[in-house]
Amino acid sequence: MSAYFDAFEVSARRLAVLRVLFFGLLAFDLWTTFLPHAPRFGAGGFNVSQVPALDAWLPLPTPSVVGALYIVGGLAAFCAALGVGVRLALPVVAACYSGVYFWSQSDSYQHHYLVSLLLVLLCFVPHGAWRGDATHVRSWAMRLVYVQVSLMYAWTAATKCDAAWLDGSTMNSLLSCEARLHVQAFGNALGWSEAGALRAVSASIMLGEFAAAALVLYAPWWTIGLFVIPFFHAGVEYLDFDIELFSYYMFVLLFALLLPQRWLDRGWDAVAQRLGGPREHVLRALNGDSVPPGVSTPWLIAGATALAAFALLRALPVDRADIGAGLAAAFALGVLAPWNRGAGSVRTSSAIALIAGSGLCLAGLARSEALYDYHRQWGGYLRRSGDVEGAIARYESANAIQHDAPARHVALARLQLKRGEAAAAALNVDEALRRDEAAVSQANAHARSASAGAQDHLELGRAHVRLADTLKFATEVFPAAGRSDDVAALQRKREGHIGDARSAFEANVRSDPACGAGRGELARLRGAGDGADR
Amino acid sequence: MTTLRNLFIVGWVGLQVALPLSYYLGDDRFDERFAWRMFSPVRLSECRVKLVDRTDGAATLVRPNAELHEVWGNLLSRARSPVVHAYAKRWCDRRRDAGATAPALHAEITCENPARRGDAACAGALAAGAASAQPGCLVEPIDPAQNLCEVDR
Repeated sequence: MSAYFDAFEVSARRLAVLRVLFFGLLAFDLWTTFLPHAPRFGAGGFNVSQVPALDAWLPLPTPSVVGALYIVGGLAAFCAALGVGVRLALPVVAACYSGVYFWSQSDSYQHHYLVSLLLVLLCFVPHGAWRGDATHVRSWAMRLVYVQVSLMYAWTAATKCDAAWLDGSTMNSLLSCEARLHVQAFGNALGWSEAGALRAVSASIMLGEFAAAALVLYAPWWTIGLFVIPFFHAGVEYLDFDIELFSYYMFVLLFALLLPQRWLDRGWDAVAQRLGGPREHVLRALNGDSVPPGVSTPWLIAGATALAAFALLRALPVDRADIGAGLAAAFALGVLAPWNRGAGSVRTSSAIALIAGSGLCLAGLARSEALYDYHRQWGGYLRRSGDVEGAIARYESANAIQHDAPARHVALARLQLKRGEAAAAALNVDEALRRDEAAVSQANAHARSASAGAQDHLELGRAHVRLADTLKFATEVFPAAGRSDDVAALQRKREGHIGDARSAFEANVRSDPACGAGRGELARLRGAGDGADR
Repeated sequence: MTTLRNLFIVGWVGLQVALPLSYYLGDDRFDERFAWRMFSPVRLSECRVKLVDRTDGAATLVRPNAELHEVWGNLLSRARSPVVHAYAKRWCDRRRDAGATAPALHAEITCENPARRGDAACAGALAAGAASAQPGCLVEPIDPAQNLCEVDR
């Protein structure tokens, strides 16, 4: 067994591809997908870790700490992708990502478990290998990465060896309407019934996953694996399953792990020919003699970088941004580690990468859907649990982030009305009406364009319903605020929008008779009498 | 060093074999966290979850969703046993703190049997209820007669 792991060689180029793609995706994932989920941690003072026996000793997670770990984990992943401070970045990413995963069962996606395991294993790859000190390196940890991926495929195939999967009923329940049409067409082409086609697809997935487990383990078969295995993950995306970025992680991993070495070398040489010269030039300019040597210079660069990272991430509109900013500053100091180096040896490119990563996090997130969701979801939880003050503060933050699009103004106004602040509520309803009307105009333009499809009609219908709901609420709020708006006119306007919504949903069903979601929306409109309060 | 590394590898692979195996050999079909069971019928099986306070002999419905984040409510409704027990422990501790000497919380959880989801004979079994459903169509992941306050103390 020892030789099986000891003798495993991996090329520095393969590791570089894995580093750039996997950690680049991870940084994006932590900042945009994970961060909005931070508010659920520790909500209501309740938590169950992945190892419940440890719960008595584990502190309760909080949104601020978990959010900070996601921010710093993302920064460390960004640095790892660029090859900056990899020795420190890998354990930091592993601690942030895997630490939070094992801290709470509120994060239960199986691919988060997989990524957690892989991050731990990657910490054991000799760090010189990430730097490209040698063209090839022996690494038992990389062998274990292949074994881990193979075991995952083997188990997921083994779990499908039961009647509930093989009779096609599980697949049948998972299919979207569009996907079902394709399965039917596939069956028709072969003269099979829909049930027969479902059974065939289910069995082939099970067999394919067993094959994937073998293909990953045996290097001469990697080329086959590279072309076969991604089909499963492409299928998952095609079927529109909500499993976040799992398929993309697998695309990246399979590409980096299975790409034949000769193709990798050829691609590498081609890229190096184009980019190598300018890259060397930039790195020489950044890291060469441009940094004046002196005892204090490395400390100055490290200190300034840490301060810049702190200042940038401190400005992020999340709860207790100072925690994440402080951790990021400590990480920056750790990466640049001036106390370990001779004067003038701090790499300027590393400092720039750290500042760029912090800046990217701030610029990318400050007005993003991710941070809007962070505050919106937190506000929703606080509202449901009766914390009106807290919910109002969160909704205000959410509305400030969602620059001009429909946001949570109506939800905020409802809370203000509950507190007797009718005038403030009316102002928020005004803002909601302005944004909803703009959204209707925009959706209308899309639905009237030559390339308009079923989805455009659906979006238009939903925009009309949202506006109608806001108008309905306006008829309560404006009189309460003592405003003289014509309530009857508001009601007439509302009825007009309900009619327009109905027409848009009918257009959706005409465009997509088999799967148009407008049918469900029409039923909801009928169920609500005329319009649903959302 | 080599010994340590070999121990690590053996432990890692051993865990990756043992954890999924423990799922298949164990009793809890509804906690698939480490089983690599993707797109499983368990996830599709619906459950009816009722937590009942029987402290004073009467049966009073407990509403965990009123105090928990919806993510925990979802895990409860999927019969995730560690979450049911953790909630029960918290509830029982609070009742004891409030002066109850022998709090009693029972989990009445009925789920569609994942192994028979495709079976036409089991269609609508959950709606029909345990009394009228065909045998084997429904399962109770936690014994409803069990007082969780005694189990988790």
